[in-house]
Order: sequence, then structure tokens, then C-alpha cells
Amino acid sequence: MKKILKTGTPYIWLTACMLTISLLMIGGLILLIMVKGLGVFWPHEMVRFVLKDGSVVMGEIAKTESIPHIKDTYRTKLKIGNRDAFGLDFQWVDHEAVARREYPPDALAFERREWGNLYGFLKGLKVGENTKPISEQELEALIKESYALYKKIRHVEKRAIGNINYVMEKNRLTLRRLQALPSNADTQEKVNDIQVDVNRLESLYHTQENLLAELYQEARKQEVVVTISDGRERTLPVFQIIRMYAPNKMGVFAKVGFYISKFWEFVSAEPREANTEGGIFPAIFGTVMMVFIMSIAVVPLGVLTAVYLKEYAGDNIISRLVRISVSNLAGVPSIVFGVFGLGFFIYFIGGGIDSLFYSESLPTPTFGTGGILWASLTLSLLTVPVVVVATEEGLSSASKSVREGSYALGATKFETLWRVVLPQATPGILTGTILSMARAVGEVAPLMITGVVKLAPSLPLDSHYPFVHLERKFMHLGFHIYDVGFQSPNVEAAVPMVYTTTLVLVITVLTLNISAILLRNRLRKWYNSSAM
Amino acid sequence: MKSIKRRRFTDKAAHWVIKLGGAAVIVVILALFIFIFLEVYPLLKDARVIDKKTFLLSESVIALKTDDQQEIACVLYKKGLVEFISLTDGAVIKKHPLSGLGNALITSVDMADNHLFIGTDDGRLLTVALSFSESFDQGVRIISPEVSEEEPLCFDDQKKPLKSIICKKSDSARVLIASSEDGRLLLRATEETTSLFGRGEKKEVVQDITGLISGAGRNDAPHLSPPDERLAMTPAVTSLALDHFLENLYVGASNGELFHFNISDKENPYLVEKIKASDTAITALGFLLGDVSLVVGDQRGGINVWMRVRDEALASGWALKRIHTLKSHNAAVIAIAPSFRDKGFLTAASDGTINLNHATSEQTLLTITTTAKPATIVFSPKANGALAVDENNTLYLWHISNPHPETTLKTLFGRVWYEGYEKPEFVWQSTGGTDDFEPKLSLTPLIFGTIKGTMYAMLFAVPVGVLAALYTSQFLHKTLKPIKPVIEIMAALPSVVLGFLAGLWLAPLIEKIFPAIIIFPLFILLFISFAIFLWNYIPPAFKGRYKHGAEALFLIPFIIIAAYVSIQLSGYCEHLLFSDDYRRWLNDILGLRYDQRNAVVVGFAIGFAIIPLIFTISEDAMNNVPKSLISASLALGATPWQTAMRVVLPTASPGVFSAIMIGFGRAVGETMIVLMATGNTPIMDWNIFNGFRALAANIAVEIPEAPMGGTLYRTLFLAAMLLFITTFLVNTVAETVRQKMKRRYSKL
Amino acid sequence: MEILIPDQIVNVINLSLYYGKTKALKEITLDVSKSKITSFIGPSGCGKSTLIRCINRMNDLIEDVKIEGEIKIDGCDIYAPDVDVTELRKRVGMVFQKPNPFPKSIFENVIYGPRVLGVKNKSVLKDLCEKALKRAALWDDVKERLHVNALDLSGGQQQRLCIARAIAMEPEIVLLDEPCSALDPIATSKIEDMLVELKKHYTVIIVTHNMQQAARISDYTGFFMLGKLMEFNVTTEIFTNPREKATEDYITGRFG
Repeated sequence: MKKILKTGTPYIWLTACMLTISLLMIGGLILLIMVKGLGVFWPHEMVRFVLKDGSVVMGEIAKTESIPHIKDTYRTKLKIGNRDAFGLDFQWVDHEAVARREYPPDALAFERREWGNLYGFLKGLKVGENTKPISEQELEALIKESYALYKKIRHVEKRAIGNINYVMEKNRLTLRRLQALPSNADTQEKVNDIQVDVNRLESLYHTQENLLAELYQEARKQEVVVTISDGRERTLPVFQIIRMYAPNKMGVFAKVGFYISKFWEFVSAEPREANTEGGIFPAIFGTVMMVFIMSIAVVPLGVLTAVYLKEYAGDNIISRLVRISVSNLAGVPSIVFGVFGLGFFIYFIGGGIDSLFYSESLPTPTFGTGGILWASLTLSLLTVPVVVVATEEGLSSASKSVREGSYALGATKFETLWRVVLPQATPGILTGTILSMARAVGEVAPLMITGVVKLAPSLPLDSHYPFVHLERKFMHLGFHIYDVGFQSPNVEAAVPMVYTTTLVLVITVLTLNISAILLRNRLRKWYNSSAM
Repeated sequence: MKSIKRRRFTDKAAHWVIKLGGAAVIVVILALFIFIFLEVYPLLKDARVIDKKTFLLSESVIALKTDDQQEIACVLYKKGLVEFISLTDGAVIKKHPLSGLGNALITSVDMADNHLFIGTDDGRLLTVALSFSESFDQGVRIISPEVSEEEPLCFDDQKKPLKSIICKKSDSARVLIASSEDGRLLLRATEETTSLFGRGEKKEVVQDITGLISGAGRNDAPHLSPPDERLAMTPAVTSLALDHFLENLYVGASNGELFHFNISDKENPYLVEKIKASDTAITALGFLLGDVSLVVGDQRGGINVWMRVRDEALASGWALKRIHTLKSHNAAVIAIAPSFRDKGFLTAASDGTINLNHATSEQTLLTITTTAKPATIVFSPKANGALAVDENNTLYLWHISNPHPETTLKTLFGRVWYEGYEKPEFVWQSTGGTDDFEPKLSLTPLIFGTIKGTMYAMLFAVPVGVLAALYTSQFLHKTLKPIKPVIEIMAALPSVVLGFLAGLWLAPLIEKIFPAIIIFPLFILLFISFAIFLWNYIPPAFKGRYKHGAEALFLIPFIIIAAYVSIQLSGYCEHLLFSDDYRRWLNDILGLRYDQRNAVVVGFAIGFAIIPLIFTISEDAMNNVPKSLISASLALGATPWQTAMRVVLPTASPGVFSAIMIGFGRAVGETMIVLMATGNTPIMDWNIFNGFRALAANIAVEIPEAPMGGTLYRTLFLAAMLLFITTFLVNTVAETVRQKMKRRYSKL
Repeated sequence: MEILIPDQIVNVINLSLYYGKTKALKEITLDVSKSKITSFIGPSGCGKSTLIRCINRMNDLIEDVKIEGEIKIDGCDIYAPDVDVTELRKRVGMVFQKPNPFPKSIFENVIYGPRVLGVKNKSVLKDLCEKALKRAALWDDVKERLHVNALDLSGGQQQRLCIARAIAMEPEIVLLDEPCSALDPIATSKIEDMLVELKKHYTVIIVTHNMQQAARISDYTGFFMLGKLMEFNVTTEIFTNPREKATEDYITGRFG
């Protein structure tokens, strides 16, 4: 034994074990996110437990586990849905208490626009006062039909009325600005013009409002009657149904189809029910746009710094200071950047812009509050070192001989840089950009205080002039995870979706990183061959 | 063809642009620091007078009041005239002679909310209501003061002058306390009780409670004057203070004693405690905002803040204790005026000095002076100004800027005795439910939390990261080197993902299988031994190309099995080691409370985040150890392990050190993981099963709610500055060490 | 060309070595005499360094190396499966082309070998250090500053330190792989003097591309070319009366 220890082999195994643990942790983590994230949209069978006391519980099985401290006992967590009827989403059932377990084939799940899922059996369709039986296929057709109606309602609510409100707000601000000016005939005329416009808009608003009321009335005419597990009947307006499915009747293909449609909804739709259902499209959009603005800001700064360090700086105090600054920018905690962004960008610069250009809407801040521009700029400071380091490596790939060749032909330093060195460094710059994007996609702490919100009323890009609204608040994938997972009023119901959001985020980050690593490896190979 | 001139110009311009661009990074980091510092700096600045005004009044004044905007002062002349004076030009806006006063003179006044309670020299009490009503006319604010008098009340049957008076009201009751010139203490209380049938019932208690001071308890015959000899023994009452709960009455006496009476039962008030609060006479008493802390001023100018503190030794369970001592005046304290905004107060001394103090921070922020002895002082309602009238009948107005009275280095980092606490403590509690909340802004618990989280993370990450790097650089087979980017990818995982999983997946899991975590290392060792044993018996043909250097892959199934086995045995182990319930066991045997989101979880999650950092940098350093050194060591008969430990590790130690430093910097500043995986409770406790609150997470939680420029806002900037400085130092040290190492390698 | 080597300590018997598919050493057979200096000369890439590295199995560290034939030290095959490599290297010390002291103190460098073998007694280590440094003719230079970092020494001193480090383990054989190639002539001559002293206690095998050096200090010389041992003989014989044409060309400077 002592001899074995003396050779050191066991210690080597111990160090190997540390690497193994690291590998297992990363593998396990990604596996965990995959399993939890991908499984969310798979339709589970609907089970009906008839308990020994005669009561009935029906729902999708969420998980089964052994009861702690009691041997050989199990309990199952059911997603019972029908939040409006039961007041909770999940219910634990002890297997001891179950008398019978069945999988009724005609059990239906209705996904509603409000109140989450409804589980039950189709009773009929109620039009006015009369209830008549209806088949699932017929109902399916009705749901499709009603979707057109729903879209109309949404259009009126979002676009028509939204546009009117937008113009009204503009008018109000113009009015305030005019009133602040000394009054003369000219301004008086403008004020009158606006007044006319306001009156016109108001009448327009009323017509739209009436239209909306009519649409709603029409929409509510058709109601589905559903018997839920405890035998009660619930009615549900058809246009409130997003989709209806019978999980116990679905084959594998139907389930795959269902899964794909759910996943598509997830990445393309807006969130519902306080972010616990629906999609994450605004978060994806906000993230992408933020990262895009950030890279516009960070790439020039990072490349300039790298060019300075590699091409222009000698070994002097300034270049050493720049190096220390770069390494410190990489090391300063992100929350400090957030604090700086809040104090400097938002309150100092944003506040300044407001008092200069947007004084009519004060004290409501325009740029003096968190927004996508400030968040992006804050992150660009944070990611400068990433670009610098990668660009420097890229610049190294232009060998000395190539430069000397260029100088020998009479090119100036800048011309050499611009025409010879930088083109060769492009893959390096690209690597840096991608890596900085990957970093920005995953960063949350500084965003939390510089402009991310849990639910943004409108995207930072829309059809209103000037189309790009840099002052708007936005949604972000990372913050979405934090917010829904930790701030949501109904965490239990929300968590499965968060896993999927996490999966989307992780896949994005990993894709960016892997492509950067591949690019970098290619660059290194190229560098090595050109150095030969 | 471009001209030479133009080309040269372009080249020059580019040169400067690039130089400036390079310098921009320095500018950024400097701006970062300077801006944050500028936001922090005002925290430690003293108050200052922005503007001072004086007005000469016609007669001697006994009371003073001002409106919110400090535009109008209301003065009460001794002879019974209420006058409103504009503080912009000194013009008299309105005069109101008090009709109820008759020919009497005013001897004492108490001000509460919008009422003046006036004691006269013939033992009567006048209540006068004042109000400032605001109206707007074409954008100009007009303040119109109003005065209304109530019917005068005969307070003292003996019609002696009332030397001092105090009055407090609640929704249903009013209590008046007065001390007469001949040393008697009088109480008059009216209470309205609502009976079951909704009929209001008014009850009035009138009592002489002088006997409580002289030690005889409650007077049996309230309306009879006490015997003279008893009076002679009684110390003279100099000042009174009554809280707004109408429960605690404090009486200061000429012999320095402070009496505390409980008058919640108006008919049976009793003495709770009597202490010697000063060697000389107590000359002024005043409550701080919230009526919990009592400021006591004495004849020699001493100012102390007293509070009732829990004390089991006493029968009542409470004892008056001195919790703060402030800078003394050089002469007798004659008046105390509390702020209506915070725990600040003004004190005036007979030599004409007026100090602006803050109780929590125990600092005197400002000293201002009047030319003669002050007659009365008042703090403006928004705490941004002070008014005083002296005996030369001069009215003073000081506009004061005093943005951050509650912060000193001591309140930010030291122990402070807060209201309601038993002893000085480190507390972070930035906001409270009520207006009279005392902000507790000690950063120490947060620094502690940061260190705690970082330490547990480092305990996990340093061995794993460094040893894994050692293995990868020295023993891992060449063909397996692509494992390295996998670990780099681990570094790319967003911390919000780690925090989410740590908080919502790992924390409940660890809580469930905690005993498994304890036995897991044992099983790892067991299974590694087993693996080594197996490895030696695997036929070489089967080992294939990887003779050595594939151990890490070979171990994967063993570690998985070890984890599985420990989880399976978790329940059994809990039964065996922790008598069936580890949480109860921890609590009973070790006295440790188990939180679900605790330092184990955080340490693990932050460790996960910094392992790749430590791994990558130390692997680089170890990889750069010259091969010649390794050959030399091997040629000298050292085993590969000896070579690794005695040559590679020491040679690469600067790199490993900087890796650890950089990992440390990252752990210190980690925000999301700490935010999501701990309970964020700012407690100071090394217990690994507790949560904590770290500086970074604290900023993220509180700064969205902190009004810009406020004390909390600046304190959070200070927290950011601490983080900045820490990481700056750590990074600079790491970078310097790394540069040094580079130079040393070039020598090898 | 068979010559009789007295007092043999190392026997290389029909040794061939392959790097992957290339044959770097071709059927080499030679014997090394105890307490003598044996030098290997030849043009670059001739395999002389490869051969010397075989004698303490340093080639084990390189991937894809295959060895045929035998090397015997004191009659035992060092490539036998039961041989402990560290034990072998303890007996066969080695000094490399470039001085490679550890970035530690001079003292720590010298006693590195004994340390890893488990010698802990401080006074024993001190004695070992002194003895080794004296033998390496470095003692007088450094005895005042044993705890100075070895990297602060000059190149020649560093190389002598490396020799001291190798002999501190009391090896039987010392292998030197072009020990003077990175040094100036003065440092070189110092080391040469020292090597001549050393052979009283140790068997020395030295690889050099400096023929004068071989001629000056060695007792036996082997000439290598393209992985083959062209000629092996007493040094004076080789330099005055080479049997092979190639040897003659090489030593007269017409080659390489």
C-alpha cells in the first residue's frame, strides 16, 4: 500500500477524478436542462384517480415520488388545472388513498387564454340559452373559426386603439410644449389645430370602442359546456380556447405534432398569464436587439484598443495602463457596471437629454429611465475586453513579413493596417464579436437595473416613427428566467416553462461560443501555417 | 491617385484616432471609478448652511413655527399675540391677538402638529390651532395662514403660573401635563370611549401627580395640595416629555434625575423607573421622531440619547439606557427640537450655540450661533432649515443642506445601537414600514455575506479547478486534449442559469438528500480505489491506445455509480448518523438551523461558475512550464507525480495564484447566483446551512427602489465602490503576477 | 572493427528505435567502459542524442516510440517489464543540452534528487549538496549564496549546477547531452576540466558535436551517421587513424 502511494499513482487518479467531476457536472447540467426543458410541451396522459373516500381527481401526472420518512409509500403530483374552479394548479395524491386509477379516452384538455388549462369532458355547446351536443371535430372547427374573431379583437385593441392612444399622447405633449411658449397668434393657431385633431381622435376612439364591445358580444355567444372531474359544469367561451386536445387518444405522431406546435408557439408568441404561459417572443426579440446595439458600440472600441495595443503602443506606461484597464474591465463585477450605467447613462446623460429635448413630458422621464440603449451601452463596456483579446490574437496572424512587404511598397502605416493587417484579423474580430454577444446574452445583473422589465408593453421596434425606440424598456431571456422563476406569484406552475426558456438561452449561448471556438481554432491554424 | 499630402494626413489622423481609442479604455475605467466615487462622496460630507437671514422683531417671543416651504414664520409673543411673518422680506402678513388670554402672560408653550398649547401665569391653558392653507393663482402659490382659538381651560386650581406644559393627542384621547411654578405636576386627561352601542362617552381625569416624584406614589386626594414638607423633598421639575402613545411620561429634574412614568391608565399612573441621567440639572427633554429615543440635555451642556432597552433583570423587563452621546455644548442646554424627517435634532444652549445633531450616527453636523441666548428654536418640517429667536428679539432663518446625516464611517461599517435593539449591532435594513423608521445601513453584514459565499465557493472550486488543470496539463493523454474546450464552455454558461438551477433544482434536491452529500466523498474515494484496482487488471490490449492519460474518462462510470449509491444510501445514512432527521439533528446537536437556500448551494453554484476560470488560467500556466524542467526532474528519478508536485506546481504557482485571484474576484462580484440561490437575509453567521446577503445581490435588489441621490442610493454606490476596489486590487495583483511570471519564463 | 572494451558497464546490443515508422537508430551495438568518458559524435540528426536518451529511458516520454534490441546495465536489461524507471534514472543521471535549473534556490536544485527519494535529514542533504557542488567545481562560486535563485547564475554556472544536481544522486553513470552547446568557450573549458575530474567516480557518456571536445576529454568515441554507428574505438585511434572513410571525412571537416 505504501509503495503504491509512493509512486503517486493514486494522487494522479485523484486529480483525474477532479476533471471527471467537472466534466460530469457540465454534462449533467446540460442534460438536466435538455430533459427538463424539452419535456415541458410533451402531452402527458390524463389520469383519473378515484379516491377511497369517493372523490375524484383528474389531471396530468407531473411527478411521482416516495414519501419521505415512510417506507414504500408513494405519492403523485397531478396538474389538475381548472384554476378558476379549484384555486390551485397542482394536487398531491397519496397512492394509499387511491381506490381506482383510470385513463378516460374522452378526457379533454382545453388551453385557455386566461386561467390556464381546463380539464374535463365535453358536454355540449351553449348558444344563447340552448345547449346542444357537439362533437370534438365540430368544436375543433368552431375554435378555428373563432380564432379569426379573436384576431380581429386583438387588432382593434392593439393596433387601432393603440395607434389612437399613441397620437393622442403625442398631441398632449406638443400641446404642453406650446403652452410653455409665450402665446402669440402663431402658437394659438397650432393649439387650435391640435384641439381639432384631438376631437377627431376622440370620436374615432369611441367608434373603435363600440366596435370592440360588439365584437366581444359576438364572441361570447358561443360557449362550450364542460364537465370537470368533480362533476360540476363549467362554461367556456369558444374564442377563449387556444387549443383543445384529448391526450389519452393521441398517438405518437399526434403528440409530436402537438409538441411542435407548442414549441413554435413558445418561441413566436407573446407571454400570457403573468409570463407563466404562452411564448417568450418579446424576450427573444429584446435580447437580440440589445445584443445587436451592444455590438455596434463595442466592436469599434474593442478593435481600436486592440489595434492600439498591438500596432501603435510601445512598451510604455500608457500601454501598460491600457492593459491593466482591459484586464480590470474584464474583472470588475457586472453589477458595478450596472450601477455605473444607472448613475451615469440613465440619470446623468439620460436626464440631461430629457431636460434638453423632452422637457414637455417631464417629470415622466423619456431617456432618464432604464431603456434598451442604456442597457446595451452598459453591456458594451462590460464586453470590451472580450473583443480586445480576440482582436489582438487576430492581429497577430498578420505576420511581420507581410507588413514589411506592404511598407516596402511604400504604404503608410495606416494603409498597411487598413489593407493588409485588418483584413487578416477579420476572423479574430468576428470571434471577439461573437464571444461578446454570448457574454451579453447571458448577462442579467446589470440589465436588471438599466432597463429590463418583466413585461414590456411594446417592442423597441415598431411601425411608429422613428421605428426604433431606443428609450423603451425591453424584455430579456435571462431576466425572464429570474423573474418567472423567482418573482412569479405562481412559481410552481411557471417553473416548467422556465426550463424551456433556460434551454433556449443555453442553446443560444453555446451555439455562439462553439462557433467562436471553431472560428478561433481555424484562425490559429491559419496563423500557424502563415507563420511557417 | 491620392496626393502624398492627403495620404500623410490620413495616416496622422488614423494615428491619433487609434491612440485616443486605446486611451478610451483607460477613460472608461477611470470614469467608472470617478463617477461612482462622486456619487459616494457626499455621504460623508457634513451639513452646511446655504443661506442665513435675520429679522428684527418687536417683542420677546416664546414660540415659533414655520410652514413646509419655509416661507412664513408664525411667532407667538409672550404678551399673547400671534404674528405671521414673511420669511422673504420680513413683512407681517397677519396678526392675531389671542382673545382668550385676557390680561395674563404666557409662561409656557407646547407645539404639536398644528396646535399651540399655551400655559399662562394664572394657571390656565389655551389651545390655538394654526393652519397654512395653500392655493394657486395663475401658477403662483399663495399661503394664507389661519388661527382659531379654543375655549381656555382652567388647568391649575391654585392659579399658579404653569412653568412647563406638554400635550399629546391620539384619536380618542388627549393628555395634558404641566408643572406649576411651585413644583407641582398636574395631569389632565380626556378619553373618549365608544361603548357597545356606539355612544361616545367622555371621561376626564384631573390629577395632581407630584407625589409620584416625591416617592409617595399616587396621591390619594388628587385635588388637595400635598403637604409642604413633602414638596420640599421633591426635586424641581425642569422639563417634560410625553410620547404619542400617551403612555410614557418622562420628567427631568433639577437634581439630574430622570423619572419615567407609565400613564397608560390615566387614573393610576405609576413610576416605572428613576435614574440619575446627569450630574447636574436636566434642563431639556425631547423625543426624537417616533417617540422612542429621548434626548436629554443638562445644565453643563451634555446631550445624551436614552432609550428603553430590554433587561430581564428588572421587574418591568425594561431599563432606560444611554444609547448615544453627542458633542456637548459649553453651556446649559435650553431647547431641543427634533426633526420631522429623521433621527436628527437641534439643540440650543444658553450661550447661543445651536447644534444640528443626528442620533444614529452620533454626529454633530453643524453648529450655528445666535448673538444672544436663544429663546426658542424650531426645525423646519422638511428638515432643510432651522429657525430661532433670541432674547434680543432677532429671528434667524438658516437654510440647511443636510442630505445624509445618518451616515458616518461608523454607521456604515461599525456597530450601532439602533432603536429597539438590545445592544449595538451590525444591521442592514434599508427600509421600514413607517415614516419614523430608522434606516440601518451597516455594510458589514453584506461584506460578511460576500466573504462567506466567496469562501465556500473557493473551498469547492480551488481544489477541483487546480487539480483538474494539473491533471489535464500533465497526465491527460494528448488525444483527449479536446476536453479543454468543454470546460471553457462551462465558463460560458450564464450565471442566471446556474442561479436558477441552484435555487429551484439543486436547493430542494440537496435538502432532500443532504446525507448523501456527506457520504459522497467517501464513496468517491472507495470507487477510485476500486477503479485503480480494476485498471491494473485490464489487459493492455483492451486499454488500447490510452495507456495512461485516460483515467478521467475511465472514472466517469465509477463516479456516477458513487453518486447513485450515495443517494440510495442517503436515507439509511440519515437514519444511522442523524437519528432519522438531519435537520432536527443539526438543530439539536449542533444548534444549526437548516435553510433550503443556503451557503452549500451557493458555494456549489458559484464554484461551478469559477471552476472553468481557475481551470483555464492555471492549465495555461502549467502547460507553459518548460518541458526541459520536467525532463530534468524525471531524469533525476522523480516520479511523474513528484515532478508535478515539486516542479510543475511551484513553477506555475504565480499563474495558479492569479487564477485563484481572478476566480476570487469573480466570486466576490457574482450577483445572480447569490440572488437566486440564497434567501438574501442579511445575517452574520458562519453557519454553512444558512443563507446570507452579499453586496452585489444587495445592490441588485435595492437599487431599483432607491431614489436617486438619496442616502440609500449613495450607500449602494458605496457597496459598488467596495466591489470595484476589491476586484480592481485583486485583478491588478493577478495581472502583475502573471506578467512577472511571463518574464521569468523567458529566462528559463 | 570489434574492439575489446575493458570493465564494461553498459552494453547496447543490436538496438533499433522507431519514431512511428521512421527508423531512427539502426542495429547499434556498443559497450561502455566503467569510469571512463565515452563520447558520441556525428552530424545533427544522426541519432546520438536518441541513443543516449535510451540509456535512461527518457524516450519513454515520447509517443509512438518502439525499441528493438537490448540495453544492459550491469548485465540487466533495462527495458525488461519489471524494471522501475525511476530506479533506473536514479542510477543513470542525465544533463541536458540547455541548462535547465528549476526556478528554486541553488541548494534546492542540488538536493532535488535526494529529496524525491525521500531523504529528509537536513544535515545529510547539506553534505550531499556540498559534495556534489564540489565535484561539479561550483562550490567555491556559490557556497556563500546557496539560497539564491538558480536562475541568477550565469549559463556556465547553471550547467555545472545541473551536473551537480545529477551527481548529487550518486548515479553510476552520467549522461550528458551536448552539455556545452549553449555555452561560451570559457564556460565550456571549465566544464571539460570538471568532466575529466568526474570520471574518477562515475562513468560518463557525452554527446557532442564538437570534435575537439571529444578528442580532448573522452577515452572512447563513437561516430554516428544516419542512425548508424559508423565506428567505435579508443578516442586517439578514431582521431588519428579512422578506419572508415565517413569518419575521416567528418573529422577532417569535409563533411557536416
